[in-house]
Amino acid sequence: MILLSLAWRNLWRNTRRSVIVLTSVAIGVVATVTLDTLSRGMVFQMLNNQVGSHVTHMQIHRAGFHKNPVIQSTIADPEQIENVLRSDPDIVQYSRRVVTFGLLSSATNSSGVSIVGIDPERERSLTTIRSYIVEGSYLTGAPREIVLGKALAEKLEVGLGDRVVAMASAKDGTMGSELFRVAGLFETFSSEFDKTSIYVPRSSAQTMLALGSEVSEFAMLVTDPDRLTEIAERLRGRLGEEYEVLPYMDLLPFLVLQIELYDQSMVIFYVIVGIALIFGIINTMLMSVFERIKEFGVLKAVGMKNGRILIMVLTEALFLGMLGTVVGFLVGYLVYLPLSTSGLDLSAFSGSLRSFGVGAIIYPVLTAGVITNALIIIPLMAVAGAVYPAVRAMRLEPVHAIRYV
Amino acid sequence: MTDPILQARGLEKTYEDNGVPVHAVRGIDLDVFAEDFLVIAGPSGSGKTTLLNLLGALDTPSAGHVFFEGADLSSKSKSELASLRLQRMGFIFQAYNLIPVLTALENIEFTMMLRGMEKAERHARAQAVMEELGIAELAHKRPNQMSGGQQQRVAIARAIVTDPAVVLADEPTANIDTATGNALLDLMERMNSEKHITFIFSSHDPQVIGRGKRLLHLRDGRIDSSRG
Repeated sequence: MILLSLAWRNLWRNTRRSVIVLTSVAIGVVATVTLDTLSRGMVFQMLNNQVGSHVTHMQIHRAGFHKNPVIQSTIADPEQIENVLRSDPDIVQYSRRVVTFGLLSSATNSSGVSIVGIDPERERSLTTIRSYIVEGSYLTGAPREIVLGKALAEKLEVGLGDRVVAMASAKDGTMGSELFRVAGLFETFSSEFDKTSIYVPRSSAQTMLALGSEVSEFAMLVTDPDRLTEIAERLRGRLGEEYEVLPYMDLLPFLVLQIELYDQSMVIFYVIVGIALIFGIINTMLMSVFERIKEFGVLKAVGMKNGRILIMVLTEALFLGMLGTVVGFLVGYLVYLPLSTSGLDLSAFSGSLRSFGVGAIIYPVLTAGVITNALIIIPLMAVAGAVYPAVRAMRLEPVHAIRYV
Repeated sequence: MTDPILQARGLEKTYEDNGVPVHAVRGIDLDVFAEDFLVIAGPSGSGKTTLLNLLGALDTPSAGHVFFEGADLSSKSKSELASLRLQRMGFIFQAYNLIPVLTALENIEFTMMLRGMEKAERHARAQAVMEELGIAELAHKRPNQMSGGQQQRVAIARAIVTDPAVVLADEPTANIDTATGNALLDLMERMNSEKHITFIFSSHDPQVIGRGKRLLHLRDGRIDSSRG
């Protein structure tokens, strides 16, 4: 205990020097925590936006549809799937969809699109797409209505009430087409999505694509997304190999990989910040050791072993790193608190952010990963920075150190 | 006669000063016995501090051997020597050398803490020694709040609190006035006679030399004369 007390008091022998180092550590931690929470927020928003607006927690297709989404790959007996979903206590909402790729044309222009046929009423409680409607209205259920992205409408030079023609390969091998009237325009978090996605009533899509009552997919929400893998496994068992049951992790592998890579890259970032801080720690601890050469000589003379001298110097650095980290983390938390509710408005960069599917306002996310990264990596780096000074202290010969002036 | 605590045989120490070899200690043979109150005297540069450092396992000889309680120190590792100093020796330095961030009580407890003694026991022992040396009121003062004499009393307490076999004191009265020096010597004499602690001093202070039960006088690294 005296050793800890000694290390703590040694820290305050030169208050000004210690405060300067603590401040530099704290500033590093504030910057890192703020960046980490905002970056995590950005990545989570990308994922949540995709899941919430269209992808949903889980989808069921005919086996192979996800890799090769041809119109022939349909669910021939939707009732069978629906019975399974209806009887599963973990499925809170689901909806049938028709999904294919085709061409949307106006009088002046045309564009390749992803055509999604939905049941508007069921989709209301499944996704948030209707909340992104900026002009007109969401699908009312009337036939041959279409909602499309505002960016796509601008490209096609169409507005509310205008007519557009959708064309796509039908299941019977013919070219299916249908005339739609623009009911609403949406503007989401993703400019890419806005340019390439259209929503039409499922019945219209089924007619256009000669599907009869067949659908391309079931999209659904579950009670507990943390148990998604378990729920998907259970559904696979009940539905058999004819169908693929895909949680959003399989549907958005790039985003999930990005989150995993993000965790690792942030550890590297913390280490880089720690390395920058190490030089300050080395300098401080070296000065501290050189100022106490005589004292180290006395400590060794009275029988203090090298191991304890090492621990004492490293503990001083650990205190320095921990204190700086805690102060920095608290300040970082004070920065985080208001931002977590108001978000950081990056409207100036909204164009580039929307191309990443993020949105203009970033809400920072504080996770256990942020806390452990900050509270463990930075103090450990401080200790690493004290190894060289501690070894110098250990190598002192008591007989010479005692006489040091 | 009992076996000596410390023995030096053919002890030599040569070091280089700006490339010039300096023979600080030349072929010294010495026996130190329990309860000795031995003063190593001599002019500056005579080798008395070097000899004290060799006897206290703080330095290694260039030739010859030091035996502590029969064991040859040259066969011991640095870690073993540190343990030996911690367990069996006490040190008093010219400049007191208390740890500035610790109070008097904590300074005295420090070596006991290094020995792994329980807090309650080391606290009790430190307080008892402070009472004995008349410095109980200094318990919670730091070195910079004490006079030189008070600091040296605390240093003596630190040296004797673990009941060492021998206390080595390098010029213990050099930085304090005569009256305080005499008082400290009275104290150490009392510890020698009452607690049977062996003291070895290096000093050129006449008042220390006068108190020695045994005296070794060094000149040019050799024993020039001895008494007792």
